[in-house]
Amino acid sequence: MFEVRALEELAVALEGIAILGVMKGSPAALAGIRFGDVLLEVNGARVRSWADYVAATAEDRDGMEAVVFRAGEQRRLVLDTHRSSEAPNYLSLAMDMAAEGLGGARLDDDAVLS
Amino acid sequence: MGGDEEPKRVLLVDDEEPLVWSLSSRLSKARPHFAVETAHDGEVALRKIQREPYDLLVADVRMPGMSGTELILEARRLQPALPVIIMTAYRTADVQQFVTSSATSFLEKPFEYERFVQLVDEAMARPAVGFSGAISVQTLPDIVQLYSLSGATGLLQVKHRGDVGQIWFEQGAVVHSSAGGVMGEEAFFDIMHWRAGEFSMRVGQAAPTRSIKASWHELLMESCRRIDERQREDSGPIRLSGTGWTIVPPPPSDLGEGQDDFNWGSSFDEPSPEPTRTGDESSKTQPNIDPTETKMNIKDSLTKLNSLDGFIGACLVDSESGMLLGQEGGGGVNLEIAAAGNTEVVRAKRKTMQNLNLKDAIEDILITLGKQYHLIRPLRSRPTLFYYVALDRQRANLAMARISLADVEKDLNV
Repeated sequence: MFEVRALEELAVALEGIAILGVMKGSPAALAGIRFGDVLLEVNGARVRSWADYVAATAEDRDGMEAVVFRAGEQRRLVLDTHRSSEAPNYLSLAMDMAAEGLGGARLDDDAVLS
Repeated sequence: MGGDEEPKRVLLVDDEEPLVWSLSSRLSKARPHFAVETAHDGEVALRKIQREPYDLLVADVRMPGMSGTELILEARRLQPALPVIIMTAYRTADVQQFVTSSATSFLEKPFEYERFVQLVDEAMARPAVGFSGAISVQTLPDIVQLYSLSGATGLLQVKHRGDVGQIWFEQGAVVHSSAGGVMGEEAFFDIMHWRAGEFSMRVGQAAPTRSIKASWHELLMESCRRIDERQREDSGPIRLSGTGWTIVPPPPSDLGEGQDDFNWGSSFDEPSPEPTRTGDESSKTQPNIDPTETKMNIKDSLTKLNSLDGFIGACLVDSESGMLLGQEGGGGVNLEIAAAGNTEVVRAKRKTMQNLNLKDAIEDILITLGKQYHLIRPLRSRPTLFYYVALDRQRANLAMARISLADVEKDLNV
């Protein structure tokens, strides 16, 4: 069982961003990113903070390269993201999150929330 | 405030039908901008007031069925600041209870028609009370936000223990403040720390000077930040909701006069002792963002939301990649709707929402559930990244939550 708190501590120790869940069917889920990963790099840039993440994903491009730390090693993954100028349908996302329990009690060590 | 554009609504209530008819027709002619309505008993009058608010109620005391005093009490429950003219031949004990109310006049029967019109004019000329009725305000930042959002001009006087604080608004902007010999933003922030008392708005009163330049939004965010800071400095958490603010109607006809004649209403409850000031706050006169905060990690940022009243959980989502990048709160975001498991409802709602296809920039989104509020706040710079906060409806202070969330979002908007 991988505790949220332990994951957050690990992320702090690695100076990365804890992945606390992925949305079902999302590019992250399809690329194999899952709860418990610690995001270290995005598009070639080291991400230590939210600001770093925002900056690293600022470029208007499709696709995202991510380096995550999992089980003692670093993995490079490619996410098939598509940049859109349209705002997402938040309410629909909220409903998805509700239906899939994203961020809810279902997080555990092998919880790719799908 | 543009009072001349909309007709003033007057309700005349008396069981003497000829009197009501005569007063109504003469008043309508003399004051064509009044919309005068009539009722011959208290029940009918109350139903009218329930349907739509009035600017003035003129009522006889003795009527069959519901008496005039009962009607006034009920009407004031719906519209606490409703000006009232009581028509009576005798000032009995039940009428005397209204004597202390500043928005009440007496018209002793029999009366001259001119005296009636004079009282009506006086009642209408009274400065409007900014808020009345169903709006429930719990903290001073709420009150300030409401006046700012409404574009108010006037003086908000706040009384807390022996202290009086003053905040001047000009078309919704906070332009000047003074409290305890201090002026400007520091006075404003001092006042925002007061947690119970009375407030009263004098609509239209101009500020004697200008001491504040920051926008009300910045001022409130800085106030919340300071309140937060103080909460952290104190041993136990201080609940901001549950403080007792009492609206006091302004006195009848003293626009522009001194301040000593302010008519403060009933006393107030103070839930717990005022926290002592420990930190040196003078170093932060401007509501600037601390540059070090822009580098804060996600966890720290979400932890800031943890102190919100009724906080259940918060998370940070990148909807483009589908990653949940931060989470705070034990239960996470666990929508009631998920518990209900009603996917049909979910599907139907989603379809409706997609059809709506809203195009405007979204600052934040509120989803109101039976027991929870859910707030979604996209990053201004990137709408695919958003905060999601769940709050307990019973304990949450929405205004404060929105301000805090905006604050956290601003911190991270590099």
